[in-house]
Amino acid sequence: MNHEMIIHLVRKDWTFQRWTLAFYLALGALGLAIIQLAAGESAFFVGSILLIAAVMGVGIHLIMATVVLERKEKNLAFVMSLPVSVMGYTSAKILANLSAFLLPWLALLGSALWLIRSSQGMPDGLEPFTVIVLGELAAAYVIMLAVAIVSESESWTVLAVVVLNLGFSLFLYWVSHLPEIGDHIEGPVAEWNRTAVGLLLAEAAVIVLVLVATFALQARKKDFL
Amino acid sequence: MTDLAFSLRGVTKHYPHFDLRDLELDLIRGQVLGFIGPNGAGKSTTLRIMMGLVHHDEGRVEVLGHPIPAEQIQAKKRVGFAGEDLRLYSHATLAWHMAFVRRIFPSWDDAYARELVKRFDLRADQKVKGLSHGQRVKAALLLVLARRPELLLLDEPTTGLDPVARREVLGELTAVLADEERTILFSSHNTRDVEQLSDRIAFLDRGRLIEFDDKESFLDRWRRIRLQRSSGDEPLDVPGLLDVEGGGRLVTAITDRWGGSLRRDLTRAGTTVQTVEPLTLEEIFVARLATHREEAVA
Repeated sequence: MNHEMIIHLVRKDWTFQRWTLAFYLALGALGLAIIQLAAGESAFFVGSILLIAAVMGVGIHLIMATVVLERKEKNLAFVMSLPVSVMGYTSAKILANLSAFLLPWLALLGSALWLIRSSQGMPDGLEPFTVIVLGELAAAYVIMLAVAIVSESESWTVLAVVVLNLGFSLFLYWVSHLPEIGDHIEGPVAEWNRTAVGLLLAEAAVIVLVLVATFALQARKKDFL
Repeated sequence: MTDLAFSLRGVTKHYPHFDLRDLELDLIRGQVLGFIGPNGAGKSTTLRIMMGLVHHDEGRVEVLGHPIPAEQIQAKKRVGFAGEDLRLYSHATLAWHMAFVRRIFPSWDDAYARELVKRFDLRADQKVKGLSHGQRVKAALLLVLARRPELLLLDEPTTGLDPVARREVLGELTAVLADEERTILFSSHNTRDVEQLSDRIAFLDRGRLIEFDDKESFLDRWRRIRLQRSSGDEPLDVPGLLDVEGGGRLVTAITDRWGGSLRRDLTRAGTTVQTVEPLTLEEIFVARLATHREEAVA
């Protein structure tokens, strides 16, 4: 694999998506500011929605712009005319997207945790729930990215986005109604019990398995363009 | 080091509705191969196989001594590829593309790139989305040429160009040929462009290579002959005559074996050669394609 070329491709995607990243980071920061500065339940609700929208938005935007559109607008032929193999290209796409997604995701995760711990009005019990929910968003993002790369299809990618976003609402409902999680959300202490840790590990396992499957499926492809 | 810029041996690729079969093709360094075929003949598939973007089912492919697809990265460092399906990033400028490619290829010739910007009448600070089709083709070609690749694989580079842009592109390719080490595979269905540039010609139809020869040999052995027969009753049956027209005493035929032996055979068959005309590459292509398709039906 041509590592130097992979770095060039990652840098290229980052350069093209810098304003997109900045926009979603600003949106996430606005959500956090609303939660912090404006007291009350509705401020928390609006801020949280903005925070989640920022993380979801950056993920979908990056996948559509760097994977789906690149193929649709026939830029892929230009990229593949450079000294890079299909596996190199796959590595570059995963690295560029994951790093670009993780930047706002980690910033939002860190800020959210800091807010929960520092804010008087917010119970520390919210911490596991927040981490699990953001973990689901990361896992869903990796699945969407894998579908876009492997299927090479705009339709399949859009379907994955719709299904996973619907799934997120169901996941929120399901997790918040699990007694081991829901009963501690408003508690004064972060309750990292077996269910909470198990959910996080399951999300991490999904991410790893999907990434391994993506490379395996890409390696089997005989026609790439 | 081998003298062949590339070689394809028994290359086969199967698709549900198309088969590329037993392709045997090679080219000596420093030559230009015109790869002619109608739409859907398999030209782009062949070029994609050579770039490692499509994996062949059977056979062996080597590009600049590198087996493909296994060593496609090493090969691509020395190969320039431009095709009609290749698009640059519309929201980026030509200057951005030049800087991007320059970082990747140490062989990038900045002075030549700037010269090409002028010669192709382009503006480096213009975004690709603001360029016309002809300018986009020239921009893509500039990015390939300024890398000074040893082998150029060009897939229909002049398709859709206006006459001025076409002349500029062909002119630049002709200039590239001044470097005797540079090899070009030039696919097209425009025979005039191919005739102008090529040393060797290959015809591809429905996934089969039906002709592969030196251009001069091609043009020398294909002729249109007007014949007068002593009697027009019997069908004219002389080996080497293709596409015989006219049923009476005056007959026009095309041959791909023009020479002394055919003249003798025609005299023996009771005909007098009235005129012999050379064919253009386009006429040869059309005649050869028709023969191939008749053979396939038979």
